[in-house]
Amino acid sequence: MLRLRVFLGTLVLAACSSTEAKKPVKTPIVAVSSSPNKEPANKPAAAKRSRKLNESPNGDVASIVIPGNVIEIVDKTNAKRSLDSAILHPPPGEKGLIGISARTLTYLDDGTLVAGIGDGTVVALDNRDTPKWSVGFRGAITGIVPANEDRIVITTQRGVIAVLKSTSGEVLWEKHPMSGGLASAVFGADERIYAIGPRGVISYSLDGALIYSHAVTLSEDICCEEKKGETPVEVDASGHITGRGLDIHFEDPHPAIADATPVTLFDYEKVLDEKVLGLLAPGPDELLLHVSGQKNNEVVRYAGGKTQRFPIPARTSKAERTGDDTKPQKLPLEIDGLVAGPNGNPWLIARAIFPPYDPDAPWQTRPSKAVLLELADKNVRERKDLQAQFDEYWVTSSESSHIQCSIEGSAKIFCFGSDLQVCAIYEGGQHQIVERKTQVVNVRVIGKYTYIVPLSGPVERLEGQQFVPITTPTDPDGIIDVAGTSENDLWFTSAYGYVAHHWDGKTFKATSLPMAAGLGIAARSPTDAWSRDGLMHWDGTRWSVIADSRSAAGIVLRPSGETWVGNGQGLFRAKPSTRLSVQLPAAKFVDTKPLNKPETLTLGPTQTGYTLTKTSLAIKNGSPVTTAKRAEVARDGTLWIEAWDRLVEVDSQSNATVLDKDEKRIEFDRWFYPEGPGRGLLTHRDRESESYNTRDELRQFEAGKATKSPVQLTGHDVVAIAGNALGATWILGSVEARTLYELQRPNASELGVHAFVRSDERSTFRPVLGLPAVAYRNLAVTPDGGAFLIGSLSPGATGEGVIVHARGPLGAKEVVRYRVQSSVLAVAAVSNDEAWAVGAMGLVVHIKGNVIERRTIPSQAWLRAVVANGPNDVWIGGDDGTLLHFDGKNWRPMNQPLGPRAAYSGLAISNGVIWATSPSGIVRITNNGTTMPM
Amino acid sequence: MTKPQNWMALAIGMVLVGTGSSALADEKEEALLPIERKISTFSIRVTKTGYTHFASTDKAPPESLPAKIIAISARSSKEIWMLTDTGVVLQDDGKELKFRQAKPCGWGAVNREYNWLGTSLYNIIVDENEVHVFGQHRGMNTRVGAERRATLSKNGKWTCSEKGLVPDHEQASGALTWRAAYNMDGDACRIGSSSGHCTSGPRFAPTHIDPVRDSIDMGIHNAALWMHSPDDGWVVTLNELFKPVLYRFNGVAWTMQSKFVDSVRVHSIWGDEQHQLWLTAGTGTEWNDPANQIFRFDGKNLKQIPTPKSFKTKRVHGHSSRDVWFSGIGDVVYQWDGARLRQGKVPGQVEDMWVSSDNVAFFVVPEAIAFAAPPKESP
Repeated sequence: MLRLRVFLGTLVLAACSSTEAKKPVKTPIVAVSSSPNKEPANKPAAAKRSRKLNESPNGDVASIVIPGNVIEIVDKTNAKRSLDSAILHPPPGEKGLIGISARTLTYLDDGTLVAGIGDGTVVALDNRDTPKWSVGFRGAITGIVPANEDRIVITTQRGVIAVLKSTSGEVLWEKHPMSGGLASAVFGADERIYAIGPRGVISYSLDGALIYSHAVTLSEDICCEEKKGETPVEVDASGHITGRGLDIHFEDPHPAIADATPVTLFDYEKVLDEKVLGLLAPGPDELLLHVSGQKNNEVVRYAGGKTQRFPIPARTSKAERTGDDTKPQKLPLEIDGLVAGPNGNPWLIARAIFPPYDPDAPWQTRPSKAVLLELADKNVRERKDLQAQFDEYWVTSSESSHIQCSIEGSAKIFCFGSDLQVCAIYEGGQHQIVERKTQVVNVRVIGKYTYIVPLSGPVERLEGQQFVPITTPTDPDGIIDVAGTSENDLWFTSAYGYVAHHWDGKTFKATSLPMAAGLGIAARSPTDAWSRDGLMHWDGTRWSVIADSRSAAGIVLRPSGETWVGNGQGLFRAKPSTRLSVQLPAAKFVDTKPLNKPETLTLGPTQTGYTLTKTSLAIKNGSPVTTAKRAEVARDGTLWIEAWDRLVEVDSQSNATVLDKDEKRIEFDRWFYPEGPGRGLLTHRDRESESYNTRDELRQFEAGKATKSPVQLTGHDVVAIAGNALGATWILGSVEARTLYELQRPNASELGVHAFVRSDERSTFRPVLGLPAVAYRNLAVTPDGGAFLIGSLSPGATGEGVIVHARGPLGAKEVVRYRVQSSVLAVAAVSNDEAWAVGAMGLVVHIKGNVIERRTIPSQAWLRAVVANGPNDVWIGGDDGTLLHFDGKNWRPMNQPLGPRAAYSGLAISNGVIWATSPSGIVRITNNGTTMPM
Repeated sequence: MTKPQNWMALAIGMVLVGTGSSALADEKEEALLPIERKISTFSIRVTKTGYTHFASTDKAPPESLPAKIIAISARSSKEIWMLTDTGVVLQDDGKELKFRQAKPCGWGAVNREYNWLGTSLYNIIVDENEVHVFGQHRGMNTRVGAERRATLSKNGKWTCSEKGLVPDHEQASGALTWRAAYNMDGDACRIGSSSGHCTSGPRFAPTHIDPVRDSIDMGIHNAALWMHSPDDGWVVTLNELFKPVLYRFNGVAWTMQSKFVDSVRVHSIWGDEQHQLWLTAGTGTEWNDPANQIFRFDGKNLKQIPTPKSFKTKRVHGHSSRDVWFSGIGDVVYQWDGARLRQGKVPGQVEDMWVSSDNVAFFVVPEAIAFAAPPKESP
């Protein structure tokens, strides 16, 4: 990665010093959202502070001490005191999370210390360190900046910006304009707010009106790391932004930052079940696939619905000596790509990997030489002629060092080498060798020309026997790829940048990408292009994320409109979908003021009238199921119970049948949903996979067999599948499962499709757009097909809890958002407008209509499960042996048989029996007739 | 007599553990009562015919050499499993030795001159169904080794498995073997077993920033592990300040139980049949400084067990709350008999120990295995 960064840095520098780069390329005026500043441009900012933000008016100086991120305050007498996370009172979430600590702080003029915590909490402390108010946001707090009129601007690592009233903590407005961390906001001399993130700059008025958004690639770490020597961002009274590499005027054209909401839908038809590594379209009705076969790589020809296979040799044809004392040996081949050779035959570009100098040297340092293979007459054989030309040019086994040539059109140019490089140019069956001073990182055939992209300098085009530089846009991230359909329809992209530059033959237009197009772009026409990774689509006006996309190892866009995508799961034909997405209205915030401490829920006397039996489920030809994680019930009463090593279906006699033995989950996610006896939905997860947020495969389970569902919730891990009595079903996802570093980087799925919904079992699932980005945990579907969706604000789950109520069929009628003091872990819908939710610190929430009541049980045990059999028959389960029943008037504890330490993790009601699951046992609860549910 | 250390309970119910020196020691130290258990030895030697069990009364052939046992685990006093420094797995019934496997899965060879290149086998763990031999695999450029685990099932077959990072701890309790891995991701099987029970352990919050920005060191280090069962377990984890924190597992989630003040280091933990946790801890600054204190945590309160000033220990293991064993420094072992700490002698420094389900304590000492017979077989 460092090497690549250096490489890109070199590229930027070189691009800036190139002849073309020195010419400033004017970006034309494109769609600009603008609220002209009505204030005089030279009006001074009201708040001019002489003290630093970490200095109190009374002379206290606060700083965040690393490691530990504890706030240390030194007063005028040099006395020190520390505020750790316990004092800062972050709302509780997962109990086992370590390192939730202070991230930023600011003293207000009245001496209030406002601290921002890693779980998204902003807490205001008086001069005795007593909390005055606290309020939560999504993502670690990255900035707390005082603005005029007792307002403070909050920014977060998840791309949220908000303005609070500093005296009360009331949230005046809150927006989530982009994924990726926003740097501490700048309150400019023009009295506007400037938020700067990896995808550009957004400017707001103090009352939250968008003034403009300007797409430009900035560092992914811009939120949280300032480079040495970097000047801070400043905005003068005219709106001129300088610092941190920015130089933007208000009068400039502002290419707006693209909305990352996936609005484009394609249907993917699986045509071949192959592990596709690359795709080539040698003819209008023919595809060649480079696939990973059972033993070796193969070329598969797919034409007319039939396939032909051609094995690729695993080793070089000729043995050679790899050291002074070694015997000659045939070397292993690394196949890097499949291209249309200049003679019309398919060629494979490859490298012969030599043994490392050290036996366990990293793989990428192994010396490698170029190998070219040709598929001719059903045989794959080496092309010694070109190989010999490349013989002197050694590279490493790093993937980026392979032969560069075009994977589209007829390959005419083959470039190879690292520091020293040569290109072979084919013309009329013969090749000519040209030495190059700068490494070529990409070769593309576009229209009638072949283009090469050097490591530094402008993109060049082969004209006759000459490489001629063409006008190339400047990009802070460096141009590494070119694509398009003709010399008047070219796309220029960088490896990590969020801007793609389009050339229409006259001018460049900077277009904002929702995510980086590191593999470049493939274009069919000026109004139809894809990112080569298969995740984004250009429709002529904007780039959008493809909902339910298939990531692509190879992509072919035929002029006829046919699109082929190949990846490790197969070869797919993609067609624009006739499916409709569900667009939710913008969520209404019910709570704008900081929440008070919840009242304690008074529990009634112990519930009687029920029989609680610790149960063991007999399994034919297997050991009984004695403990379980979760229980779910279909609308016909079919009960599925998840044990640690099995998913079982339980009949009315408590006999269990094993449905699945493969899925062994670590988490307690709601990953299975029974639809009836022996059938339902589930998600398959490869336990050891580190492909977080893409590791869940939705499957339809029927007759003992699970088949892959045609819809997939991409970019998310599935956290819950739930439905109602009419078969309306929601699939809810989360983007929170990543390594710490990944979670602190921008993720396009942050603002993506978090859920699918269908109206009944006969309908197809439709992506839900507009669902707020939070750390979702669970949901309950209401009788009208809407849902209560619950979780926490921040990943983890940490920070404040959140309940989103999507009302009406498919949730599209109205969206209401409630804040809760701690993470919400489970929810049960009683009716269209009534729900019970439970969570961390003994949280019990009741929503009825638009009224929300938040309480905690006296023990404050974490509550993990809730189920409702009607408004007067609700059950709650949780830690420390907590099992409660609500009879319509009182919550009452149950005498439960699993002991005081048992954690109840699941509750379900099937055919009048309440099932409570726990790692400590399974409890069957029946009404013994003396107490009727009210 | 110095005063016992005070405990300060935090408002959130967490116990803050403070330790000074050996807090309850007498100025004028009184000798501990002797252990009322007969301690005997046997040895494993390599003879012309292979590995052989010699009772303390047996005369070993002069040309035989002592086998170096590096790890011991036992289903009972009649089924003792041992691993030698050369990667040989041995099974002993208390009288006779069975050679089971040399270098299971072909692992066990390392090149010490080149970054310990290869796989070094370092531990053997036995549960009700399987025998696990744990190894660490390192390459030339490896900073943190990978786990290699050879598992012998009851059908006599070895299976070989690998995981990305070598675990901090391995431990068997009843039917399950548990491993606490040193792992950087939030959803890996941090504590797992052969039977599918698996959970994420305590982990860093997603927004935690590692001050040194090192992807490997962002992982959680577990200082000690004891799992009673799938719904009750303990782990001592080092937090973001690299201070030990005790967490308890209820089958679903981990909850912080106590922090430890100053530079306390927890060396070893073990849980008894009453679900109480026994801890050995110390304040030494060097990595190999022994523990000098014993704590017992009953789920709510942490109590320090009186120890003499000279008390030094490394490991704790036991059979019940009235039979808790501690390996000492030198030729000393200790036993908590339910009321007091007792002291006994073994032939040398204890390098590994195990207490079997039928209440026999085994101590690996140089050139021998010492064992304390059950009370009914002791004088």
